Amino acid sequence: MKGLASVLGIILFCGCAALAGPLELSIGGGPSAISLDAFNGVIESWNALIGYFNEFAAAHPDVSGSVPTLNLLTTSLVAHAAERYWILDWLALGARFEYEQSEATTSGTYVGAETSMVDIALQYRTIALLAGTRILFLDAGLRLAGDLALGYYHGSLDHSVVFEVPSEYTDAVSGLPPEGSDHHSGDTAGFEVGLALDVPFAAGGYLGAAVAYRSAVIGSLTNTAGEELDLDGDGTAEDANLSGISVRFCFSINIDLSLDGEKE
Amino acid sequence: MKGARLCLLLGAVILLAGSLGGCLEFGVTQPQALFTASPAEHVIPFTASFDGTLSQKADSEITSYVWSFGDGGSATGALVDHTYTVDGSYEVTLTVIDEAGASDTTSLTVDAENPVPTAEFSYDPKSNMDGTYIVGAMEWIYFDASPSSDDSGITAYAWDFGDGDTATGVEVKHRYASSGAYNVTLTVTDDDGGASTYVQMITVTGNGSCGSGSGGGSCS
Repeated sequence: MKGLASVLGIILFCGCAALAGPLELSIGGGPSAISLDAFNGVIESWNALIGYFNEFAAAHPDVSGSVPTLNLLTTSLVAHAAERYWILDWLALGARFEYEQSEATTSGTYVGAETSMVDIALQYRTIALLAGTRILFLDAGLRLAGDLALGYYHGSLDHSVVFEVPSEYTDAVSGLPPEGSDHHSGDTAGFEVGLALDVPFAAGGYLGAAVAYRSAVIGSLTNTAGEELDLDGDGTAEDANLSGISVRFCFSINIDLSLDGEKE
Repeated sequence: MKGARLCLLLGAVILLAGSLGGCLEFGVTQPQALFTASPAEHVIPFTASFDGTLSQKADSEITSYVWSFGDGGSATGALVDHTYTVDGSYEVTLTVIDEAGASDTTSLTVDAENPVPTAEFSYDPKSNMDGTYIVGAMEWIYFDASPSSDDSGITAYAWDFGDGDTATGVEVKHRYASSGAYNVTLTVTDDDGGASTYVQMITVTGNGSCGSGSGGGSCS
């Protein structure tokens, strides 16, 4: 997959360099809504357990303490850098690099005859390299364009889990998370489709906003030992569904690479 | 060209709108199965209570709770009881299904423990002097482990007479060569490997010999 991405990149850059049209560079970032439904299902399950033990601690005369629940990994911040070659006045080919990160953490203790700790930290990251086209629909001061891109996505999850049940709790409960720390990662191909609106900011510069939908699922994340990610220990590997919406705000600048200085 | 671009714009809008509206669901779409078991380990026979109301579903109702108790038994409902009568380690599984047909499964292990046998023996002859059972040296003593009991049957009886001699069997006999206080230990083992021990001190008076009359040592 990495090889495919490299080849795509080389073809794109060589092809565009040969055309030598205007080059547009942009950087930016913004909020992203990401599905990660398998991870979030596990988090919901852990939150239910935390809530259950919070209630137990509140009701038990010899146990105190409360643990905050985890936020879901549904929102993140994404940063990107992109370049785009306008091979026609309405069609550009380009590449974009994205970095996205989302975290969920909680920590707390239950104090009874012993101190029981709950300490969970999940950090999810995606690095994406996309190659695609931008089609300019409207250029009347404002620029309205559509984006379509194919991408290589590399996702990784660092996770650290400590979940100690209060010793005063004598029953058994299913779904307790397996404790430990590890790093799992995987990659996949996907696509993005979106709309972009740019406003002229200065000579050759634009401020813009884009909304895009991404479809990509990493079917399996593995650690260095090749073991698949099984956050909840139920014997079923969790996938990483990266599908989601991102809104990006960006600053773009055009650099005219043509020999006569005219936009082709 | 303009018409083609407008078509592309329309296509992009439709594709984006379709994606946002129909293809993407944020948060948790699957129900999450969780349950508690009380007790999760006990000596058989016992009845365990299972509570599946911890199970979660964010935006729709869980419509079915399907239980498998690991011993062939099954049930439905959020709150169920099940009685275990045979010892063993059982994986109890709960599958929850929501109104959309999505499901999730979770499990935990219930340990149904084997009751240990009760070891006990009687012996004969014995006399009670000053509250203490006393027998004479070189006197045959008949031990009987029949009072021992177990739910599934005792498979082994092991005797240690406290003088270095041992024996096996439900009924054994032994005699002591010299006076003293001896701890007689009976260990019974059942067919599940459970074992228990019963110890009783026997006071032997006088001196004697085994058979030929020679003293010292122990005699069986």
